[in-house]
Amino acid sequence: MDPYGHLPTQAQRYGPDAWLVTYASEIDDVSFARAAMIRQQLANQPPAHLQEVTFAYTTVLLEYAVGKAPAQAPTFFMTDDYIALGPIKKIAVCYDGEDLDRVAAHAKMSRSQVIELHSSVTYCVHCLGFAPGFAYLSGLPEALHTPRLATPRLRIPAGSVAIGGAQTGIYPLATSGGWNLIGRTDQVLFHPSATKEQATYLHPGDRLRFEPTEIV
Amino acid sequence: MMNFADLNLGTACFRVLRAGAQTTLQDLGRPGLKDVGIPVGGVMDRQALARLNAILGNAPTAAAYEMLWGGLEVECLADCLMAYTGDVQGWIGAQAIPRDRTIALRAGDRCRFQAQGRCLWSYLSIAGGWASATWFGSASVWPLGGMGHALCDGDVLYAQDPTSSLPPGIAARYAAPYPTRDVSPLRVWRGPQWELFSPAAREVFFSSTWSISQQSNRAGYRLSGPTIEVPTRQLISEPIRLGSIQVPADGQPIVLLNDGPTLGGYHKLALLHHDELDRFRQLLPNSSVSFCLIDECS
Repeated sequence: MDPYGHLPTQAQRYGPDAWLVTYASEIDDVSFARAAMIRQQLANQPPAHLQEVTFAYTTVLLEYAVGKAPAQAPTFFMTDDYIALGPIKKIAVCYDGEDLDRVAAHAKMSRSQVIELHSSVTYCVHCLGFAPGFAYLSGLPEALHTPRLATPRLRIPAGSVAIGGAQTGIYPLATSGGWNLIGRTDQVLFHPSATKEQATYLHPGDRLRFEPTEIV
Repeated sequence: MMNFADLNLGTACFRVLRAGAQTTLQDLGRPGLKDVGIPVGGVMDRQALARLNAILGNAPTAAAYEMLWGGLEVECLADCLMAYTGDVQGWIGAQAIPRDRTIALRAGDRCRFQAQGRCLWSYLSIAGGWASATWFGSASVWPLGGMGHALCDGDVLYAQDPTSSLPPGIAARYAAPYPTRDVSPLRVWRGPQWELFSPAAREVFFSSTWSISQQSNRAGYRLSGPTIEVPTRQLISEPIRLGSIQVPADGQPIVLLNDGPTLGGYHKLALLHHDELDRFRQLLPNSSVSFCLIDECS
């Protein structure tokens, strides 16, 4: 028996071979901690025939071999795993992005105030998606929420640090995108020729801080 | 960085004279990586790859060149045993060559593959298989993720073991009826947001004939038809399964496929039945499709 009881979840079928488990209703510290608990329990006791686990902000998808999904929805326990949240990873950023002035103007701040605020908080990596190694973060201070560009850029260089609406993130690969570019990092976020374990710098459950580097 | 020893260059086997509309090396893809944002990828017609590998005596997991439509033209650089499958007509010079059987090629032969216009994807391989880079254990090309690129004119294709020999022509018994004439409605399961769509919206989806849009690719096929009313409640981005049918704000469904996103915030009305994927993915742009709910299909 677990002293903390069941983790409140809602599970639904997503086709015959998968369960989609909703473990939170908001993107916040609670959803982040609960994801850590579920991740730990899946690692400790891997369910039979489970082929793929995909985390999102408040949901996790469990995909099983064809015909092998359990009849009963998977359940999880409350634990104190949140005490052992993922490591805090540091990302050195040169804050010289093309849209830094736009973000500063929208926030009614100076450039240096934007840099100080953006690098003053610890962000949570809830999940990866959109592109390999692209982290969906929470924690962007509300003052820095900035509308996306009206016209997305066709090509954003890999390593760009950007703000889009209420989110901040780092582009692991050169892609198109509509976020405001505030800086860039040399940190490689995705290795297409690596092993699975080393494919991405960031993983769901990590936390991260941006560290400003000197602008030459 | 890649270690040169891992390149496994093999033997130069073909030179690409014309790359065709889009030709990429594909195998069964790379499952198990969605949590870091990497879709499964892989062939658009799994049965075709299985057939081709059986014909050539290759492992079921061996990769083949996947041709979108037709137009690929290659010059053979080394004697080898080749086979192709799909709705294309192969030629060596002016001589038509049959699909679904092994063909002995001699260095200097020029092969081309001409679309027959009924199915979208066809496959080309050689006995012994292709030598290529792999990413996370799969040779499947996914340019967006930095994993290889579609063939270009002038590329050289490398064979692992071109001397691998089977008697030519023996494998014709694997030939499958092609293309499929099955035009019955595609079976779907209820999607995660089924209950959020109004009964009227679901009725529009199931009672309409949809056209596959030209704005389609390996990531997903768009469907055009009447507008489906989308639930007003916003969705927090959640994981996506292969074959999910999502409905964005414009009310036109998208069927998410091999190279599609792993997470998304659009409502998913339905999920294409696993056994319908190959038939669906082979449909041409502008073809008509309809759907039936799994427990209501006649």
